Amino acid sequence: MNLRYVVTKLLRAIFTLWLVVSFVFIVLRITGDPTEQLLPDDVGEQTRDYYRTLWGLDRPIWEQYLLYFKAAVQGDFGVSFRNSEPALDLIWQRVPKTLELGLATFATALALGVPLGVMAAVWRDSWIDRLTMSFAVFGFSMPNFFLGILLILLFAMNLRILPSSGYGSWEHMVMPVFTLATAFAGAIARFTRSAMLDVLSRDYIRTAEAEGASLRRRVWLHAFPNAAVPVVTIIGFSLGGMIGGAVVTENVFAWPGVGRLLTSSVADRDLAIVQGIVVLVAITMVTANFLVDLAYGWLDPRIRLGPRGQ
Amino acid sequence: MSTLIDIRELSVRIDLPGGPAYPVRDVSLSVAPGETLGLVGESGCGKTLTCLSVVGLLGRRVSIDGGDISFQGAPVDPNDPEDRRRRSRGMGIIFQNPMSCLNPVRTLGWQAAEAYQIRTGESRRIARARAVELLDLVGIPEPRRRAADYPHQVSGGQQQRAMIAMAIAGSPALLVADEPTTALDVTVEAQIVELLARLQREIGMGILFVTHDLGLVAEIADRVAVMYAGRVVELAPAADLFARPNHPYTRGLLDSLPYLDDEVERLTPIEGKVPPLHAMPPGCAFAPRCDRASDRCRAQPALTRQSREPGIRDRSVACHHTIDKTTEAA
Repeated sequence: MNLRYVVTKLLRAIFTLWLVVSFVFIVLRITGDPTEQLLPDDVGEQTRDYYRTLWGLDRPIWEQYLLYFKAAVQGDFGVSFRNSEPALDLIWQRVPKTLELGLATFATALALGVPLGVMAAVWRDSWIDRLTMSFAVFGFSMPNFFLGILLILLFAMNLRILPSSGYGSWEHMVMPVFTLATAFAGAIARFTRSAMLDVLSRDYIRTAEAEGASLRRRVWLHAFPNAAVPVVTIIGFSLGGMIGGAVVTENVFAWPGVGRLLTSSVADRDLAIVQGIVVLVAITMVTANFLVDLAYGWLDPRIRLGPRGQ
Repeated sequence: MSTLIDIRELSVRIDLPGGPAYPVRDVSLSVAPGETLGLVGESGCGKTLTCLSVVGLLGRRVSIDGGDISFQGAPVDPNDPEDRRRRSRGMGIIFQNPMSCLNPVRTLGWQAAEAYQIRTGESRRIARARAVELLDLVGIPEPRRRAADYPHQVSGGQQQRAMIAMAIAGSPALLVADEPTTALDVTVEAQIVELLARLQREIGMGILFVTHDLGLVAEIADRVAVMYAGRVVELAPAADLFARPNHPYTRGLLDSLPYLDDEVERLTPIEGKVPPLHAMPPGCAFAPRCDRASDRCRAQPALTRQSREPGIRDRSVACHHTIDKTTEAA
């Protein structure tokens, strides 16, 4: 792998994270006096001054920024005012559950979206193409909360074959995963289809056909590796949408993950937790994009190696 | 004379939104083993579609509308997968633009090995070793190292050499070369032409060499077919064609070539342009540009006639008013 490429992308990822963390600091300062937001309304001015000194709010702004930044780098986002536990610990307890949901969704969406998109492209204008594209449009035009409620009505209320909400067994996962994966799989299928259509019309596919390469060989060994770059791009982009969708879906199905913690913390004005989750989401997104950039290099030798002699 | 590929009255049809068009009409050609047939003509005259018909690579909306193609004595059937396999084993093809014809995410070695593996059915390991030999055979320096290179890492000339290596993997009987040097520098062009001639001697394959460059065809071809607006207008041994063109279009082409020994620059272009596909005249397609055209030319196209000239075989022309009177229609 081209070292300069990796280093460039890594520096960009770090820069983005720095921007996000700083942005959180700025938002926190311009939304007003933190003591007013973090302390109950009925505390006296003396108590407020005590906390202002304790949190360093009486110091110059650049010093506050440095202190905040130092703490953030060490993973210290303050304590939850609900039960005085460190915010990071509270968030961290929820991460495995969200990760479980996210990975299952990711795997389902890929397993559905990629083969459907490829088949739709190979048999363009056939019934399989029309069916796939109808599914894709359904997938990303259907809001998560609505699809979730429909599923609960059908499978939990009427058919009574799946639990309506909660966490515990694989049955609990079916509906949230399906809800989240539909939109994601639809987007992947559409982009896979258009990327494959483009690649399948290229001259090098004709070359492979002239050599006598079978359809399966042409599709999977010649075309797909070339179509993978745009597909990986859309997977990276969709991740943001998926995190947003996860917040909604976790609430619909009472899934005890980071998404539910976020909504309850926003409702309770538990700013330390909200701040921690925002940074965590940012880290996830930046890491995902960094991995996507690495994947480009891995998938496309023109990015990985560059022209000879340069 | 045994023939490798025999095309009889081939017509190709394209289904366009405004109705079908016939970019190739009644084309008859043949290539013998070890022979090079040059196919010349302007852009859009149907050369490439003729090639693609031979190898069986016509795309969507393009189909063979009439005529027969037989390869190594057996007729080809475009709809039979087994026949597709027979043709891909026996034929190699190289195209104009090697950069777009090589897969950008596969190494040159991988692509050459695959071509060999598919044609011969050998194992991947043997094919890998053979790929390096093939790259060496087509004159790529340091073939072992270049085998690990991707297409974008080597020059256009090396890319075309790699394409040739893929096309000749498994020693096919026929090589179809569709403008293989048009996208290359002139010096590289000469090297590629020399390479093809050497490979032909070594492997004994027949070559269908398509170009719009008459000078190039004079160098490489044994026989030359001249196409105009979808039809073969003249077919003759290369030396005869250049010495005594018989069709007014062929002569027009030759007159439009510059010669170094000319004292005065006197290029004679052919006036006018090729009629568009959807507005072909009922008669000879060249008649609107031809100074010999008569009412008869404008009414009906001339049939292809064999030369009746003594001592010259294998020479045919499609014209009502040929230059050489012995072939003129009665």
